[in-house]
Amino acid sequence: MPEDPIVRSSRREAVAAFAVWLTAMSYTVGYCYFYGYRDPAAIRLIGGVPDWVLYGVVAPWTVCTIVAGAFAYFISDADLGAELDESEGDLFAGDEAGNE
Amino acid sequence: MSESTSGAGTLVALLVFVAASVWLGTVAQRIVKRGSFLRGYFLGNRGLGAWALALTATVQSGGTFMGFPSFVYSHGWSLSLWIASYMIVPISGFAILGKRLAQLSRRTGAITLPDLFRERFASPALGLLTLVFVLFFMCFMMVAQFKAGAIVMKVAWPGSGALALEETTGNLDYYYYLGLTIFALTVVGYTVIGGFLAAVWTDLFQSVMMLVGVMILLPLVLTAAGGLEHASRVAAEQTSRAFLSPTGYSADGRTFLPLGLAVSFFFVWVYAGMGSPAGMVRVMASKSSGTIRKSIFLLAVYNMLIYLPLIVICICGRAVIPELSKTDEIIPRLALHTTRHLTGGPLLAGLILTAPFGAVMATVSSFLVVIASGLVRDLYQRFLRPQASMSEIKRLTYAAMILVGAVAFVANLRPVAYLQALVVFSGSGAAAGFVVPAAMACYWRRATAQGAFAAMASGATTIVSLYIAGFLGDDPGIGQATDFRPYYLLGVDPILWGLAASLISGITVSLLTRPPSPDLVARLFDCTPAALGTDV
Repeated sequence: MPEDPIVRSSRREAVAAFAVWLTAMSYTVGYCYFYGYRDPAAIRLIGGVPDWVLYGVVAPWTVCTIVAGAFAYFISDADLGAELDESEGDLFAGDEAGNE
Repeated sequence: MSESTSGAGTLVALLVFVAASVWLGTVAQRIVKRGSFLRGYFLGNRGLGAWALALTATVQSGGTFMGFPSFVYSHGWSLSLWIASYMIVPISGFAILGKRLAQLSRRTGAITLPDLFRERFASPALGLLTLVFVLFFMCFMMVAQFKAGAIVMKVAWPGSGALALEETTGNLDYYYYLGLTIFALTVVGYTVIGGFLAAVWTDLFQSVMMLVGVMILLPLVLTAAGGLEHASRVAAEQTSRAFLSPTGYSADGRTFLPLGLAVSFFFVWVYAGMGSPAGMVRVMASKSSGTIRKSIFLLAVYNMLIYLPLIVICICGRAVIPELSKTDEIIPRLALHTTRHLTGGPLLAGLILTAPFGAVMATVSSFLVVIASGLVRDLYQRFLRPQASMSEIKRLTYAAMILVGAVAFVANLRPVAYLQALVVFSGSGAAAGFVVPAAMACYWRRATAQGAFAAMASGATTIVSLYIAGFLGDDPGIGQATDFRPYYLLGVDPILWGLAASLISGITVSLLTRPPSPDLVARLFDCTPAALGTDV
């Protein structure tokens, strides 16, 4: 049997989500490192918000919310399948000896 | 109403909330009755919709919601970086494991997390280890939450003279024990009545209340502070310019958020959300893949509307109420201060104060369900009495919840002192224990039971070991000021070492052990004949 399409699409989406996490972390921590972790006297307020917060946290947070919308729109829907009936008992009955 | 104590409006709002929660429990009970008891009571018949999933699966506990405002007030704008990873929690929390986990739980018929690991890897031993870690980490967290619930109830009581959600063990008077009793009876009561769905619906209810509270408080506090620009300048003058910096201001001179911890919190919140047993069960209970998809966006919008305004509110709080000695009081204080001249002010304040109480109730009820399901389904039914009748399972489930509630009640007669630190410890421990094995279960055909066992054991024990080392060692002067602190190896949080240990041992042991049964893997990874026929 070929691999279930849900496994393939889930794996693909997981890699994409992992990449978004890595990008968001790199940008936010990187920006805050260069423009926030410095002499506090050099920090400017823009509308009451420190500049490093505005560009290093609020801006990527806004982008991530938009990306989340894109994720919600683009990731594929699929039938999650039928539920194994409780009366069927253990899925692996009979496999245990070979696997342990 | 006095500014320093709560009035009848607060108590009325809380009692209405309690009544609504019990009502939700009874409505949930009707739905549970429609299907099989286990699947209905512990998993809501896999019927969670997008709103319920989005606002209840990854949102942090009541302890985190109560501790966060205090941190902002104490340390300043640094908290925006501390919490910044919440920008990515909706995507990581649902898109990395969500759809596959939901499918896997259906294919295996799993109702609980130990069930899922046991069936996926064909290993009762792995199921048992999962249960041990679920009980260990969740019991810690739940016992701590009981104290928070009792204190919120005490705060609401007119005449108690208390306004703090403080963590000290002092001031344990009549009102504390009254609050503890009412809280325990209520939360155990409605959870016993409605099970998983009652926990989810009250969680959803409190999440909405939290948003309403923040949206009401934001304009009131901004006006009282004379705008954000003025508030930030006043706060920096009161403390130092460090209040505006990412390292954060600390009255005792410690560095609240050095760069290593800033990186760490991009792991802590993301993986604690993903690896939470209660969160994973909710993903397993989702109605469809479309539900998971929509939840990503709903939660993203919710997080943005909650956390960024909450930071602004507490920065303004520093200007409106300077030099607050008990910083945990900041939200209740602001609620009472800014509504005192408004028509219906006491009720409005009560509405705002209901949010943290609801957060604690919802957290406790969801943990009660997970712990009871572990004891009944994964221990009693799997190991002790596989032939137990459904009526016996039902009775035992109710008894287990009452017993767990009673234990938490007794533990809080002399409450733990480190609520917020325990929340971080439990979240990190569960993340280090469960995230890598769950990813192996979902995506790696070659993963073996022994590999998953090693990943789980090494991740969780790494966290516990680093906390023991930190507790016994010297204060490094970074992070939160508490005795229950971890050892920050190379300046980063233990979760990074826990995840690394889990990943390395999971892969190594899997590759060194015999591959899993091809038949088992095929049944969980490949198309079923029925699916091929209907073109999935």
